Amino acid sequence: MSIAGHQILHDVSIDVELGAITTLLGPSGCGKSTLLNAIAGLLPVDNGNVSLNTKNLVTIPAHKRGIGLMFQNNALFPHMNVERNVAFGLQMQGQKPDQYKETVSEMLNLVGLSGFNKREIGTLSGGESQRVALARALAPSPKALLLDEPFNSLDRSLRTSLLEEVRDVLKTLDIAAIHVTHDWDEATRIADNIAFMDQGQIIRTGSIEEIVENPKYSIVAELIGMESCWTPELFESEGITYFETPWGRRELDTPNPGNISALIRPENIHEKSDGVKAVIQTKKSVYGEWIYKCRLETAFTVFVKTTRNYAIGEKISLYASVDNVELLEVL
Amino acid sequence: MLGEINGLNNGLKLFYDDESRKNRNTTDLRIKNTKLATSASILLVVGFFSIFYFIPLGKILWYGLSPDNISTVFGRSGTWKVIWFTLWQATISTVLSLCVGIFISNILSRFNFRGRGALRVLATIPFVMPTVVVASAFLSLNKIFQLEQSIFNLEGTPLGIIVAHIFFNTAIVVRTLGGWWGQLTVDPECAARTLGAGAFRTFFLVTMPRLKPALIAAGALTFLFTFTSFGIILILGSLKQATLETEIWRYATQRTDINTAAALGIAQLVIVVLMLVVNSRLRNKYGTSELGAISVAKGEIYASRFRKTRLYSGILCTVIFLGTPVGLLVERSLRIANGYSFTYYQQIFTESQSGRFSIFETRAAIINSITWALFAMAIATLIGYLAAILLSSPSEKISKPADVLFLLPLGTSGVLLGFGIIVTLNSSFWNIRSSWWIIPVAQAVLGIGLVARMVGTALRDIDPEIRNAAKVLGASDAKVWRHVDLPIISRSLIAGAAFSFAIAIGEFGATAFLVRPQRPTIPTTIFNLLGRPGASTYGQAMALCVVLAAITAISMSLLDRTGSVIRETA
Amino acid sequence: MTQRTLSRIGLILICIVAAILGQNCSNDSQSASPSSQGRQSSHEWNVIRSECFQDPKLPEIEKPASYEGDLSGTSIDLVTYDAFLPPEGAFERFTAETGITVNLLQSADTGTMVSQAVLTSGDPIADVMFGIDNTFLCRGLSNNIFHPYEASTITQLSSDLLLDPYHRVTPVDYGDICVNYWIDEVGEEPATITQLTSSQYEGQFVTQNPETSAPGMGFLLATIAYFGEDGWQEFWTDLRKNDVVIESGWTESYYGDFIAGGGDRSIVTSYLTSPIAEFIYAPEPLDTPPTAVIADSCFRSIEFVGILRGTDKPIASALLVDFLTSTYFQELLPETNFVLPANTKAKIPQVFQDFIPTNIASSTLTPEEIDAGRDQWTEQWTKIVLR
Repeated sequence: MSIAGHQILHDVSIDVELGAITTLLGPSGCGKSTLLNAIAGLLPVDNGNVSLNTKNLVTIPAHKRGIGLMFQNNALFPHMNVERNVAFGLQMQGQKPDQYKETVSEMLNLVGLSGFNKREIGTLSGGESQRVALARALAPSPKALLLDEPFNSLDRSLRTSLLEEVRDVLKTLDIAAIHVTHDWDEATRIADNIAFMDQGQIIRTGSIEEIVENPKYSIVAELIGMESCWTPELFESEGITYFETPWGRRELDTPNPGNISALIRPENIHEKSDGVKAVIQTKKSVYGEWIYKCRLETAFTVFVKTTRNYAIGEKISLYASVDNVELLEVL
Repeated sequence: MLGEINGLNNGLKLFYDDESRKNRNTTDLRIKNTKLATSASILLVVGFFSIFYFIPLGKILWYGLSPDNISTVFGRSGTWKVIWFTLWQATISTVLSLCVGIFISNILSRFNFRGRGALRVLATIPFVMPTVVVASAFLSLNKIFQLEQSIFNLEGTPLGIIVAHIFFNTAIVVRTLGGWWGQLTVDPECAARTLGAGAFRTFFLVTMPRLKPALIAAGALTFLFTFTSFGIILILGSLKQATLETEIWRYATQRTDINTAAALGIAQLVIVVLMLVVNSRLRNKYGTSELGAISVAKGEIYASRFRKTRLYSGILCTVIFLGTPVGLLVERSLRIANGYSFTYYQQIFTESQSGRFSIFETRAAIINSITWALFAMAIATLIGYLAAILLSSPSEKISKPADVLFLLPLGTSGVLLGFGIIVTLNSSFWNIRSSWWIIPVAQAVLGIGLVARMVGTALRDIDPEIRNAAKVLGASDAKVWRHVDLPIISRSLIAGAAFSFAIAIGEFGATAFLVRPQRPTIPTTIFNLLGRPGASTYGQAMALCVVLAAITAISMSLLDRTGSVIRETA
Repeated sequence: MTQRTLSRIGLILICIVAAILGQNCSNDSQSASPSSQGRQSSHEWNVIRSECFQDPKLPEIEKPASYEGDLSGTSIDLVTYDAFLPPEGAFERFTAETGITVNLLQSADTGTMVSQAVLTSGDPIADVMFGIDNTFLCRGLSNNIFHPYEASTITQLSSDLLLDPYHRVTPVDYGDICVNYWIDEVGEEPATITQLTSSQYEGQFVTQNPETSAPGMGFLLATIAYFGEDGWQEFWTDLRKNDVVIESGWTESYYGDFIAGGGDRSIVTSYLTSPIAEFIYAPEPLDTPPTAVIADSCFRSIEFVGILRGTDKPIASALLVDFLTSTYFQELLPETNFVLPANTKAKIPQVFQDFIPTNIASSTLTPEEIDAGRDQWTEQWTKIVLR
């Protein structure tokens, strides 16, 4: 897909089913927003294809596509009140106030803002603004909804609850949605399917379980919060390629693997008295378990998950099986 | 005390609601000093305006104020016709200038393209070109395209006046609108598109309302300039189309009928005051945005398939409309009997070599012009800053009248103000009416309003919290001003200074009707050169115009470098 | 809301009125002084419009027999219209001779300058005024802006130009406003003003609005003098039929419509000396001027110098009037300002002698006639030509 003469997106192909929410996950600047804007028709597509129910949308201008879009900073019309914001899309379809009034109230009800009809935009809180934005996007019954990191500016707890509400609303209305974020946590709360994007390409798609099971690429592992990744130094002896870990040598199946990255999950590292000595550097608590960042004697850093409580600076000894070291591709 | 705590810990901001925001002012540590500063500014600003504006104008208008005279002047049907035409042409010119300005600003603020800087400067140049030159250029165009017999005849018709007004005032609209527009995100427009609004509906329902603050500010200035426009109406209207300003000029100077002129001046003043009061109300309602640098929106803009076509056709139209008169000027400055050369430029820069050509001290004129304009700029910036303190005063009793009063000079007849200064600042008062510095002072009177509005908007937007933050970190009042206020308003100050410089170097208004020391300036020299026969003098006048335009272009591009000054108040 | 707005408007209006009232008080205190003669009511200005050559009953300024050294270091103000160009070094010479420095002030056009002087009558903006012409002379004289002084050079000045018997103004130069034509472009050269209405010159003539332009006024007066009070309207009606173009100013007509600036009209109202200027300022040297004048289309314009009443430097001012009418200064005027000297002893530069036509029949009207008829004529003219 190329835009304004520049090849920006390559081989991007996502299929979204009715009623399914697909999350596009990728680092900043990977082309997520560009892709959304192209789908919405806000950026012209020079070559490439966007289709909805097998109907090609490329030549259709944005306002006739019937695709809703929610923006990062809500993009409400500051000069109109809540009702007129929500009614805007309906008004564009030619509805008169007496026709759209009911729909507007329904929509506001759906997003939990009953009675907000006459409020001015300036008086709304961040969460309320995004709810209005959702109601506005949904009011004209779009065939698909695009969400461009809509909850970025909100604090964590509000974001979590809103995500769940949005998911419920989308499921109720049974519309296809593409949601864009760089936050794995946000993705897990809303997505049915996840597509990873990097440098204008979709590199990995699948359900949440599939992705966690096998991230496949180092960048995917990083995005989903697997921090214990490192780039190993490869050696070769007697036709066998291998690299060293603190717990011994890990041999590779293929002789010339190219760029690879190694991952060892925290749950695969255990305390063992004759293990490798390590010093606790940082700790954080997740639902009663502790995740420690430990520095091994060999100047190697790993993450360890355990229920036991240690102080920072305390020494422990750790063991892991070299078979549990996973290999990831580096793109 | 809340303010102090808040200054220390920005993280607490979330807990503030609107109520505490209102209370902030009362807990502002600077409130006492602010009061002192306000009283001092009031004294200085009111003193300056009284001496150089209110008393002179009051005295000259007094001549028109007898009931007999008023009833005679306003008893003539001709007077009402003139008032009607003045209002009519000013309104039409303003509306159309806004339309053209919106069109050009759209290109400048919503597209990033090569040559954007040049187009921006081109849009500013007309503002300071001497009216006599611009009007001549339009008359030439009229002849070149043989419009005399067509419905597009620009000479002696309202159309010509309006087209020339649009040409002049585009700069103001583009400068006011451009800064504001570039800072607006495109998201609401994108949202409107995805909600089913086409390009036109998006523009009228979403973009236009968001531009309102800038449109109000630009509209007010354009109205003032077109309402009191003089040279354009006189030359292009050739007195077939008379306005209040040209009638005041005719009665005051050609007929020495000061009574009638003053009565017309009163009518002019009343209309301008009413307009400014309405404007002030609108500004309070919708927020403000003032003249400044033009910024361009960051990031990609929503687009249609016609984006490129729209951009190129837009640039083309702009260049044709603004560039043709300017281009004609450049062409004339280069054209000699057979071909083109820089002869005239050489002549204006090498003084009276042979004694045959340059009898005018053009080099001295350029130096004088720049020196006087710098003086005017300094005065306008200083007094304008003090006036801005009044404009941004939390007390409505001060800020609201100030809002109206500072722009009054732009809507005042130059003839009457000039004559007023001559009769007021006389030997019984303080005989300064013909000292050289009355010229920069009179020019500054016009610039103060602009500076005050631009800086006032910036001042009002300074969050008192950051001043308090500086205070609790140990800064004295003077240091707070030096390290917080000044850096924040500096861009507006620079922009204001650049505009008052431009106004002064183009010599608008009252200065033409003062008695002044005979030291040549660029506009007077152009005027004198154009006042005599001979192909060389004409060519030199044109070359000097190009020099004037170049000086403006340079000062304005410096302004653009300093960046944008527009802030949202809402 | 409406009420608040109204009160705000009211407040502003009160402020303005208060400012005006405050000013009026200082007016009244002034009106006791003799300087406010000619003002009829406390605040209404009435310009006196007739009988300009009446005895002002003011004593003439007498120069003392010896003033050597007394005036050294004095500085006096000389105000002129904006287009006046001071000859280089002229005033330095005056300073060297008398010790008086001249501070040159400029006003706008002649009408504006005279209006300014009328407004400040008795408390003048300068000591001496240069350049009031015969079309505005009566307005100045009847409003009593000048102080009488008989110049020491008076015997050398052309007696035709000495209009004021009370010596309030002294003629300093003269020049004619004439219809010019571009010789190579006009076809058959027009010989008389009446030919301007013939079909031969249809669409060829451009002139100026008398309300906004001095040459425009001059030509209107020339036609009134030539055709008489009853004939001029008809002439202008015919001119209009013959597609005359009216511009607001000389610049627009000369450089816009006339051949000189790239226009397509070959006949224009300008000055008697314009052909010489075209000759001198031609980009390439010429043998003869490219333009010429129609001999009977000229209106005689005379410029005067006068000491402004109320000056506190009468002697120095008198010396300046003498200097301005002296042969030295008079000989500098033609080449800088394209006018002819009033002093008959002054030598005219060679180029003027070569190219000033000798067959000029200038018409003129008396200043009283002009002052009395001016407003009415321009209004009639506007009706005939513009509306």
